[in-house]
Amino acid sequence: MNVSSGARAAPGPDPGVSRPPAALTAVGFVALGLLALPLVGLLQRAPWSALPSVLGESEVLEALRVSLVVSLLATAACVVLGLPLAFVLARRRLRFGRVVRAIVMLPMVLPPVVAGTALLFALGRRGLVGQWLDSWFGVSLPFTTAGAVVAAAFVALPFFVVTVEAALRQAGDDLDEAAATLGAGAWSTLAHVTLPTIRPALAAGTALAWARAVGEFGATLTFAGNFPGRTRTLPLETYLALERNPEAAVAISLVLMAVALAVLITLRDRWMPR
Amino acid sequence: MRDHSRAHLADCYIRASVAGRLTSAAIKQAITFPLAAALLTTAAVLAAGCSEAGSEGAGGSREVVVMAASSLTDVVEAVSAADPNVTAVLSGSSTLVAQLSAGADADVLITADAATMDRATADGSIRGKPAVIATNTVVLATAPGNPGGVAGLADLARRDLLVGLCAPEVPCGALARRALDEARIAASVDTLELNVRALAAKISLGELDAGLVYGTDAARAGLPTVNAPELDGHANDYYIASVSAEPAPAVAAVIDAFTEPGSVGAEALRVHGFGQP
Repeated sequence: MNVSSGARAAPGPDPGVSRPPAALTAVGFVALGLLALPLVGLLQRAPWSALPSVLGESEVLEALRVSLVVSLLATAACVVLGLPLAFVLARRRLRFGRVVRAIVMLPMVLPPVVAGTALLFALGRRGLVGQWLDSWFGVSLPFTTAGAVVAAAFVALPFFVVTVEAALRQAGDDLDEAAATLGAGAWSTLAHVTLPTIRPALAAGTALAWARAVGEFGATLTFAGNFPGRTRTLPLETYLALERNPEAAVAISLVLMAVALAVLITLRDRWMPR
Repeated sequence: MRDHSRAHLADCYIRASVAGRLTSAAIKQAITFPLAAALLTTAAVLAAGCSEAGSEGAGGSREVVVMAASSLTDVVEAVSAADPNVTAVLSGSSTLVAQLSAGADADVLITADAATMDRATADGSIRGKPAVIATNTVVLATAPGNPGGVAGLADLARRDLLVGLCAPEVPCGALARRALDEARIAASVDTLELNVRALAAKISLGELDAGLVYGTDAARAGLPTVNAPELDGHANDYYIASVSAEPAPAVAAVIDAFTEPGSVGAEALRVHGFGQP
């Protein structure tokens, strides 16, 4: 987790580690091929010369704008809500810790369309909480950009919480206690000791949550619907484009894949332990 | 009937023999656990693929895959209940056409309008001759109890209502758009759902105030409908076609089950409120 301390060691295996058996390596490369193949498939179908005009289509630009607004707001929500939750999970002894942690991680393993259905029954206009939002504040989340933000935040939140919680546990609270002994208040310790210690994890968690929010499809479609300029994000546009103009679908997919790869490569380089 | 079912059987045989060899190799290699585990996993995967192909052959009957517009869900279910060899794939017509063009394995396609069937014949996914089996109309449906007080088609332009249509890519959306354009109503739409069943579900949950769905889907979901004379005269034709130019007898029999008067499919179409072509 060393971030800025001078030159880093060259990537590659530790010379002390023995090589795995040849057959295992072979199967490993088969698995790698399975993961890389779709990317190659996209690349060979990419309309390179038409790329600028396809990506400049008004529908695509509109979906890009919706995607940026929705994913950035969802990421902001993940940080604001996720940081306190990570502290609760890492620093408090919870009565039903296992159950709580399972609930936190649920959106990571839930099919997104199930998440969307659940959101509809909870926050929809006739939903458990949604009916009160509607009758007290006149707020109805489904089929609005705010609804798309809620759907994206719901599925992205665990990625932030899990990353930050792990870092908090790893960092321990020795430094916090030392700061307290030296007279620092709780908030001051948080701002000047704890948060700087876990800065790499904060960045990694934010990036992962954002990447997940950008890719959201199922929960958005189910809970927020599909309307251009309001709730139609890039993944929804990709799905529709596949039926209207497959070239456009390939172009948007390429952009989404490039963004995801960039996030992961940057993370691996900077913030993740090798 | 899959054209390549013979290839499936040959493939099954190869898989079985390879899986067998991998398993015996794994036993010999049991000392090096990771290798044995990898070999056994591969063998299991191969065998799994085989048993799927094998069960198809073992029954003596062949599977007929019917891709149908989601508005036909109940009708296709009636046909597959009568003929257990029928496997139904239900989705929006445009999704089905895209899947077929991408090489999806199917024997029969039923779309909810001519435009989507034309796309499938134009790109060569469909080689059989399409025939009309039914017609359907869209109705103005409201949430249970009509909480938005929808009184006519023009109310779809009210901004205070949550209004849903099918996406223009799918037949019910194309039909709704034609009807609204002709009536010169600029609907204040909040969502364009990717298939009619999803739209009907969101209206029946009360999450949408109103929308244009097929009459058959409104009836099925028990949705209240509001009289809208502007929608009269707008209808979709449902087309059926075989994927192959010369369908196998089992496939032809399934198509007959929709086209022949009095057959299971034709009867189900009538019962569920579809119009006669």
